[in-house]
Amino acid sequence: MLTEKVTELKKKILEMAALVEKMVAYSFEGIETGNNKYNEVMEYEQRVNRLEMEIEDDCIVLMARHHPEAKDLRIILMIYKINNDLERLGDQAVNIAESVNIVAGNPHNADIPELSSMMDVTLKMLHQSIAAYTNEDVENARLVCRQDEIVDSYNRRITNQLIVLIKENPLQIEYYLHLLRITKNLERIGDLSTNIGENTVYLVQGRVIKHQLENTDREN
Amino acid sequence: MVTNQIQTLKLNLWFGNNHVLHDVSMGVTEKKITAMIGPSGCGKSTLLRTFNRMNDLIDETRISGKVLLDGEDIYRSKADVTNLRTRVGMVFQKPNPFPKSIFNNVAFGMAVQGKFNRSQIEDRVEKSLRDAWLWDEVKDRLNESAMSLSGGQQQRLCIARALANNPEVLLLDEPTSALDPQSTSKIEELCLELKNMVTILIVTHNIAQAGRISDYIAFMYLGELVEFGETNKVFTVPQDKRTEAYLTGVFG
Repeated sequence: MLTEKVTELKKKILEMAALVEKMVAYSFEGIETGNNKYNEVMEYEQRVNRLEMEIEDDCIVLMARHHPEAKDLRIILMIYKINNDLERLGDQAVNIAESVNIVAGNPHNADIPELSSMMDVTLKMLHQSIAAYTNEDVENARLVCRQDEIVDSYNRRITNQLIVLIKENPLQIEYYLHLLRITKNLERIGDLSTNIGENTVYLVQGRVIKHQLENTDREN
Repeated sequence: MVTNQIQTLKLNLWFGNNHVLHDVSMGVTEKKITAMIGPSGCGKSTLLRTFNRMNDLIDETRISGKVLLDGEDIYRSKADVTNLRTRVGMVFQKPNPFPKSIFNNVAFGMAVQGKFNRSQIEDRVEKSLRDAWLWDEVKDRLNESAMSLSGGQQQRLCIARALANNPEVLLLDEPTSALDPQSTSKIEELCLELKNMVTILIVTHNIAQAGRISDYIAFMYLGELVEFGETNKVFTVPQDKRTEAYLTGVFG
């Protein structure tokens, strides 16, 4: 009885994850050429928001009516949390798409060559976290969590570069602030992908690895 | 529009001077499972038994208000009670097969009606046993006594016996409280399957069971219908404080 309902719920969260991954990829597509996909991102946002509410409702009803235990409980709790993370990821994609819509095609984008590498790394991290969750692959889930440091260091370097550029070209401040906003949102995408990785470890092993809690007493 | 197969209108019931049901008005949706919950003595079983007039068997029973089945008052003066009970079947807490063969238990209702030939009865017995998920376990021993079956099998036999009359409604009065967990979950899954064929009303003390299988919940307290609604809603955000208290185990 519960098993079928949990399977349905899993299908829904994977559908949502696929939409969000696409949204993030679309959010900065065309930043160089100017053929960006702002409208597509906004359209996906609506679908993601609807799914989020639906999944949240399904989780609450399943817990109230079926009192899940052990793995069933962990699955539903993690879907509840990942659902929230995915919705936030959708919001980050919208923020990025809004700024990209303004800076797309601007020749000064070349001033920050690392931005496009940061985009690639972040998108890959998100992709891996969703794949690890889908396959309940603890090893890759842990790998994703370790990559967050790479995204964070991109964020620090690009922020410093932007500060310098703003000082040099104060008239361009609005443009640079949009690049800063894109960077900040990419950094958040890294954090949320890490959450998905951590939640995957909890789902499979029942271990809490966030806040460097691993190897401490919470694990025992 | 959703039609109510059963509708009670300001139903009151007394056993002698004891006022058991107070102004109960409730609609039961066709081919759904409605669970009736509440503490002991709240009147849920009595209400269930008004739907096929089982309370008539108790002396000094008096009712006011109406009980409609498909829009017709089942307590009207010329109502045919035997016919009513073929349309509204019932299964009780303790499995109560007749001391007869498995086959004759299921065939009994049709035999009493006296309008079916042997092969019609055989067909219907097989179908009912299949619908009650018992056929594979008993098909080679149909002439053995029903008393030789396990408790869970006896209860499914009682369900098959009720189904053999082609009922529109099935009343289940705590059908699993005498059964082990495995037989219980089998009956619960059977209910989910049967609701494609019949409307089910189930009285249960097991709140978790009501949550697992019902579409609607009727919560009764001290003879009153306190809350009625979709299970998804009643189990997450009940409207009445007494329902909230009962579901969270504060009383009852």
